[in-house]
Amino acid sequence: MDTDINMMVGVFTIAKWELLRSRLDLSTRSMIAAGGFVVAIVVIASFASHSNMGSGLYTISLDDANLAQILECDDRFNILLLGSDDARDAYLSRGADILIISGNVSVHGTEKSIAALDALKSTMKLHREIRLSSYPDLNNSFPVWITIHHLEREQSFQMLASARSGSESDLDDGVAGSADADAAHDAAGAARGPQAYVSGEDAIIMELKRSGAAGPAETDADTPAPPADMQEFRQMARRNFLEKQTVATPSNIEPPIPFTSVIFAFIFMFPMYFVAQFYSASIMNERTNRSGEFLLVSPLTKREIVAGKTLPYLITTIGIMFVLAMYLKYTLGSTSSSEIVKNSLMIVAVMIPVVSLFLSFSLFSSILARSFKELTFVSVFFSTIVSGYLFFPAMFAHIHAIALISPMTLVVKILTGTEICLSEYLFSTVPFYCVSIATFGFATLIFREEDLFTQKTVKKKIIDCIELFLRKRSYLFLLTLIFIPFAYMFELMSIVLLFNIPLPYSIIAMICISALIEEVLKSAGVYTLSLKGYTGKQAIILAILAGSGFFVGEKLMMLVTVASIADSVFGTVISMGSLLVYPLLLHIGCVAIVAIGLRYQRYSVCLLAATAVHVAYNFFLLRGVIFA
Amino acid sequence: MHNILSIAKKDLRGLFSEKTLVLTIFIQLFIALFSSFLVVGLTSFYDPGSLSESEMKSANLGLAHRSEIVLNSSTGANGSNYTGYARYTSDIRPNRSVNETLLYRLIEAGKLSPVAYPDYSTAGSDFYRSEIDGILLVPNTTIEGSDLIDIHIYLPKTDLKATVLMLQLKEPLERFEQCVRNIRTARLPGYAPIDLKFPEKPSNPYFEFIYVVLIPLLVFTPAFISGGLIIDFITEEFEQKTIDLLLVSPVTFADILDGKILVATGIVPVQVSVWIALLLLNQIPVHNPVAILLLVTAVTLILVLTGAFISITLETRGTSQLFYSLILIMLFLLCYIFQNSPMNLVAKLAIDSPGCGVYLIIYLLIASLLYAVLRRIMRYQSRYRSGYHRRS
Repeated sequence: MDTDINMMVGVFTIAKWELLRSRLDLSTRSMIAAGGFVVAIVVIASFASHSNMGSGLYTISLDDANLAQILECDDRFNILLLGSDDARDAYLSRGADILIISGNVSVHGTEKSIAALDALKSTMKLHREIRLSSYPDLNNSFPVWITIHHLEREQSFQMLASARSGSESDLDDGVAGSADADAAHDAAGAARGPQAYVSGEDAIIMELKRSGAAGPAETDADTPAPPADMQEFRQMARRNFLEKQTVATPSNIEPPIPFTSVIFAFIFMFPMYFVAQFYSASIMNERTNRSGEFLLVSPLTKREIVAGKTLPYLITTIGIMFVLAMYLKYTLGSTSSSEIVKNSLMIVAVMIPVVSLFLSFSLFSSILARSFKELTFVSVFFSTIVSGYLFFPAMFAHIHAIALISPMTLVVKILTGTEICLSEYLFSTVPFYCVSIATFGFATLIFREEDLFTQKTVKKKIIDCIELFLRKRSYLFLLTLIFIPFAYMFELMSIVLLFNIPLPYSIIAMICISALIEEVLKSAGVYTLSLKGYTGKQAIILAILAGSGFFVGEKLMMLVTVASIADSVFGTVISMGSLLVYPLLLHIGCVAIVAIGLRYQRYSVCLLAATAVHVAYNFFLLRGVIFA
Repeated sequence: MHNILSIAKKDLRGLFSEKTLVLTIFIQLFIALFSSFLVVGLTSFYDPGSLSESEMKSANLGLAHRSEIVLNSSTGANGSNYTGYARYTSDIRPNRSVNETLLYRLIEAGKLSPVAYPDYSTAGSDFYRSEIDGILLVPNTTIEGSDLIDIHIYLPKTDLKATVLMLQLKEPLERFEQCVRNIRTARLPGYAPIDLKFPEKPSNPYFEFIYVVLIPLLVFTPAFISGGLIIDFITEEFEQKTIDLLLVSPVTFADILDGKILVATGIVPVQVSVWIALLLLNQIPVHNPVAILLLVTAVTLILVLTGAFISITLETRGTSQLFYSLILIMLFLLCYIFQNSPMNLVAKLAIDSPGCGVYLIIYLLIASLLYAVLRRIMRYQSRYRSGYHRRS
């Protein structure tokens, strides 16, 4: 108890110093200047609702003054209003992309000209909609309305999960099935028994009947009901662009737009970049001026110093997140204060692991970097990767389950008023928690004189930190286990990157990349130990330790994430199904290749060999999908 | 001149030895990968035409008439009276089968192959069994009538197929709306639609995104990075106190600054030309490459000089980077507002639209003006005048 209190006191002392120091860093004048810039940015942003990007791209020559007036509203067009002969001349001499003479549109065959045609079509459509909305007669100007309902239906890969639970060893079938939703569905239906089958089907029919039968006001549709008159229509049309779509006529309806999610993600990530900048600058300052020496010789432990230095930044960021969440929730039209606070707290709960990941990465990179330049690049590199990981899955927020990879999806969901459940929270945040805690741990290990105040290379410092972790050989088991969430995040990242490649190739690329990532992480510990040397017999023991550690970690990760992704084809690549014996042998075997090989060959050669074996194994497992 | 070059060489060597350049290229590659994810992934998503045949067939749509109860309540909600109630309930089956309706025919003419169902409950069971992926309930309202036509669409929750279906449906539904409007807008006083005859051409949905967003972003990323780089170059000398050592050597502060500006600006055109070459390899023609390079260099110089100015005044890295990022965001937003911003100019140059030359010269002038101002400040501030750096 006493040591606990002492530790707390130490942490708070460091935190207090850190706060005082950073305030001195920012003089009153620069504070005011920074505030001024922020205000200017907000003011400019409020003007920026109308984009001028791409103005003056296309040139249109035409002879109709009326039409010219309409088209002038769109900045993308340069209008040449000429007599019909001059207009034709301008067009023929390639001075214009589009020619409109007496209602006939002609274009060149070039890509630009065709793009201009698309732009023209969309502008004319917009004009038509605006003009029609000026009539008070809704039933004749906007006669068709669409109401979209979303029905719960089990997705093919979730069905697969239930099919699997029935026949655990039937891996081959499962893999083939995930590529073929119909086959998987039959298996699932059989596994679930007739009872569940009927109730699920009935639920859908009931829903069809109910939401169709109820008055428009009572339906829980995802698009609003048609308005009663023109007045209401105009109110709907005046929506905020962050809000959900309201006008649901065929010309106005759009598939779920991903860009609002991206804007949310951006708003939340922005403060994080700044705070992380200051945090890493503070750590770097301790290093360059060697003022950190005084901290290290003080009676405080390394853990207290790191915790104390991190705490102010962590709390500040979380505070900013909370205010932002409240503000966004408020602007999105939420009125009850209890709901705002509750939702903001939920958002903060989602953001805490993200913030700590950012801070842990900036701590680690500021210890690794040898100079400010290197720090800038290392931290920009890390934040690009992390923000990519956060941004891109969030684009599919309301579209696909893969979006849950990113905690930002949860934030978007909370903001738009969708309920989230605990399993979703765990699925998207557990990797963040694990990786950030591990990174903080590793950074604390090398928070010592030898690494802080010397010009060691990045590679040397990473090796140092693994070496410090491996106090005993048996810690190798723990090390590979800790590396699992890193591997997991890297692999999810590569799914996002490979999403746009057509299916068989993306899986092949995925197999190779994930095998390489796993082999690097598994053998990192063995490589570190090999620098000191070991005998052949020890090599086998190390391989068993590392391989089984990785295996156990993989299965633990599966437990957390089994619901959503682990059973899609990509998931099978990561976790290699639910077989038990072969993966274990594979992991141990691959590490053994590296462990033994390191005595004769270079690390990269051994690594490639192990990866090749791993890839071959995965190909064998997934042959059904790839060669189908 | 010799002094400037030796400072430039020192900083360049630092860049290479710390492999920071490699990281920069990595970052840019990353952005490019993600952009390609955006272009190919998202646009193909939102453009029905770019989906392959097999993907199209994987999403099926079922059509069924709405039940009579539905019909009644919807007419009631539309403000018309309930007199129709008795008339419609007496006749359980709709008069026409679904596949005779206009909507069905329009959808069939598109890329979807719709399935007609006699009633909604059979459609519901097929939906559950994954035989169809969406249900569209056709209303019994007539096109010629004056009631709102309320189409209900049921889609699977959190499924890619829902989006695919919606995309496929948009065009037939718009045609349907057009048909209905052709009849009904005639009743609006003084409304005459503008009739343009568009030629049929296959369109490229990526085109505008590539030229208006992607190319400017790719081309300016090195410039943004260089602005941050100069801050590191300068504040590093201040914070590690190496500036004092440099200043007792025969170089002046202006020389040091020039050397650093030279490196930070010089690496940008190299990176940009690689980008343009890569785009060309991907069959994306970039017009006026020389003008683009000039423009980017001018903008880089503006950013680098801004960075240099900030870091000379503040001397610490953290706050300098903060101010630089704030200014960068502000400039970025201004680009969004002003018509002839550098971003838009690059788009116009790349697409070969006329009227950019003047602005190109203006940006070059701004850059050289800023440089002259910085030189002036260097000359008149006593502490930088000699080779000796005095702290006040």
